[in-house]
Amino acid sequence: MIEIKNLHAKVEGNEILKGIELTINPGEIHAIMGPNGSGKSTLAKVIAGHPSYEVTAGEINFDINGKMVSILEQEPYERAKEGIFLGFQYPIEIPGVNNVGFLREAFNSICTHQGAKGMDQKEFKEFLKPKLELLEIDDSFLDRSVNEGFSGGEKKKNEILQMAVLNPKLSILDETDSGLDIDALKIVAKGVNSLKSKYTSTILVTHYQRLLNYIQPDFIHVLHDGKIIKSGGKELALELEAKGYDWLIK
Amino acid sequence: MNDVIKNYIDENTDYHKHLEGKFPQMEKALKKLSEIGFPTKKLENWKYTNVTPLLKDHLKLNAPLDTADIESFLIKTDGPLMVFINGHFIEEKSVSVPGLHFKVKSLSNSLPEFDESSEESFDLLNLSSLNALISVKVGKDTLIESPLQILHLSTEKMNGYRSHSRVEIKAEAYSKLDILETFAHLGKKTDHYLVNPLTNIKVGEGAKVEHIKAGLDSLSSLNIGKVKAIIGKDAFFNSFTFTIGGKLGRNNLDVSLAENGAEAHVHGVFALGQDQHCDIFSIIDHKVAHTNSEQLFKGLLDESAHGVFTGKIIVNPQAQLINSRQASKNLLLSKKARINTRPILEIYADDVKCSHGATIGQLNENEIFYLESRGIPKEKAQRMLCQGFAQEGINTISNPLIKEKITGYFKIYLKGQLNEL
Ligand SMILES: Nc1ncnc2c1ncn2[C@@H]1O[C@H](COP(=O)(O)OP(=O)(O)OP(=O)(O)O)[C@@H](O)[C@H]1O
Ligand SMILES: [Mg+2]
Repeated sequence: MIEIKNLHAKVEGNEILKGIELTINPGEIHAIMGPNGSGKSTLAKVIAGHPSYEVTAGEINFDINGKMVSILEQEPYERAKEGIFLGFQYPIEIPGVNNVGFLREAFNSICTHQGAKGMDQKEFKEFLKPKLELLEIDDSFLDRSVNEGFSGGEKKKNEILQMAVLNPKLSILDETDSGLDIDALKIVAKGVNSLKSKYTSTILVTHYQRLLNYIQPDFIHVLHDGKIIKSGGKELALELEAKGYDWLIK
Repeated sequence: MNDVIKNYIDENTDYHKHLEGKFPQMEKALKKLSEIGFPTKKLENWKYTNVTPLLKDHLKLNAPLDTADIESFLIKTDGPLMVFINGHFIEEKSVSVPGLHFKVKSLSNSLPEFDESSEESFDLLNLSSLNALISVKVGKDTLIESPLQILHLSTEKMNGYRSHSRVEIKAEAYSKLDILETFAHLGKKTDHYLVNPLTNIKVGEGAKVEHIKAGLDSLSSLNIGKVKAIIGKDAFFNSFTFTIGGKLGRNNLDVSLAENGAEAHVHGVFALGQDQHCDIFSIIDHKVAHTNSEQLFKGLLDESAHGVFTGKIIVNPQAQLINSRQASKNLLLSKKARINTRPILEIYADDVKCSHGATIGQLNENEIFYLESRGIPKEKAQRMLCQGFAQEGINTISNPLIKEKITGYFKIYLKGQLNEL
């Protein structure tokens, strides 16, 4: 699905990623953990193509029509059209831009790319209905401005709604669990699990074991100072929960 | 007297000679105009706007009449409509409705008294160039459902000419009226003309009036006008000035909160590109106690466009318990675009809540990235953000039909189709 080799990236002149190696196959869920400031969100944004982050070395190859292709030269929207989705740690508020209008614009843009027909307002509302129900999001959120005035938890649910609408191949969920109460966490996990298939992959960035109780990862990686310093199975999360990161960092 | 004004004075002097009857008000206005001339940037109120270069090629009175397809500038309703083409009132295209009286009055019995203190060149030019007055009256307790549309259309034949209109609107006690006054153009981008409108609005006790000015003039034209409103007891005035057209626009907004309980919202959006210039000059005068005002002006400036916003708030000494809010928010979309924004507060009372603020920024990179990360191409994302920015302003229009129409006009700007104005 995605292959990251020796990835180095900097922002505002500081090198943040210092040689990331990560390969994710279709159907897999990988969790990325690590202390604050270790570069987790940076990695997520670099994969999605944020223009503030400059890749100085290494490769990111993504499966496009069965071939591994470098996406480093692609614009963020091109990556999104190929099926990369980033659930933001801090979803952006966009005053004046209507939530459902935005969702439909995004959906139709991706549909067009994949050769499918877009939907008109009415069809799209119908299409949204079961997704709203699954995520227990009230209709009224559709008519508000994107994320504006949403609570922390509502913003995160809105991210998962976008993911459910866009049906990406690779979802990168950056601390989607932070700030969620236990009910919301279960709903979000249900949403993520419902989209899981042997053709899609997920990267979960998280600090907490509790999310991993609901979404079972295949691999866990620890990121520290811009490098993956440890990888393991899901038992690693329990170990980290008990011991922290110190024993790995030395 | 410089050469530029001389041509205008001479032409108007000649015009007065040929009028049937004598109109001392018009003559006095012309005399005053010849003394003070057109404003220069030396005047504080005209610091950022230079009109003379565009008036140098003399723009003549009395443009030829023309016919045009006006449908695209109209909201389709059976509501009242007044149509002017190249400054001429077109009776057969105009529509009246019960409850709303409008008349085109000849100069003879309707000219206002000349205000000796008037120092504003374009008010004087307006008065001294008039050929008729339009009066609109909504009777007591009357609610006019569909908006009154006043269309001032300029066609290609307007090239080289000027037009001056004066609309007097009176909403009597407890009446309600929404007005869309549109300045539009059908012709070539190079059509060079001046429209110089004056709209006088009196909002009677407890009445509600909404006035929207849509500026869609040609990219070589000047629109220098004034909306003057006097708001009565417990009355409400909602004003919105929308500008995407014109080479040079100057919108004077002169709002007087004259009696207790009067409230005015004076909002607007200007969205400019190329080398357009738009100057909003607003004065809100809190004459008495218990009066409120709100202002939100949003500017979007692309290419080499220049926006100017002046928001003058006056609170008279006897005017206690005042609430006044003013915000000027601007988006610079290119390196060469400019904005000057200044609040001027003249507050002579002490129990006053008065806030003002101005912001100038660019499109936010993180917002663009957020939209892009959902598969929306960058240019489209930028347009959505501009739309979102303007929408906060446009949403202050309460009449849904007018709001929709203005939203539609804004799309012309978003699509980069200013050349088609
Ligand atoms: N736009 C930026 N400008 C300057 N520094 C940045 C920027 N983005 C990230 N950084 C820096 O890069 C480092 C890594 O940040 P990043 O957000 O990737 O950490 P993280 O692992 O996601 O942390 P957290 O667990 O707190 O979310 C930090 O030191 C941060 O300050
Ligand atoms: Mg982070």
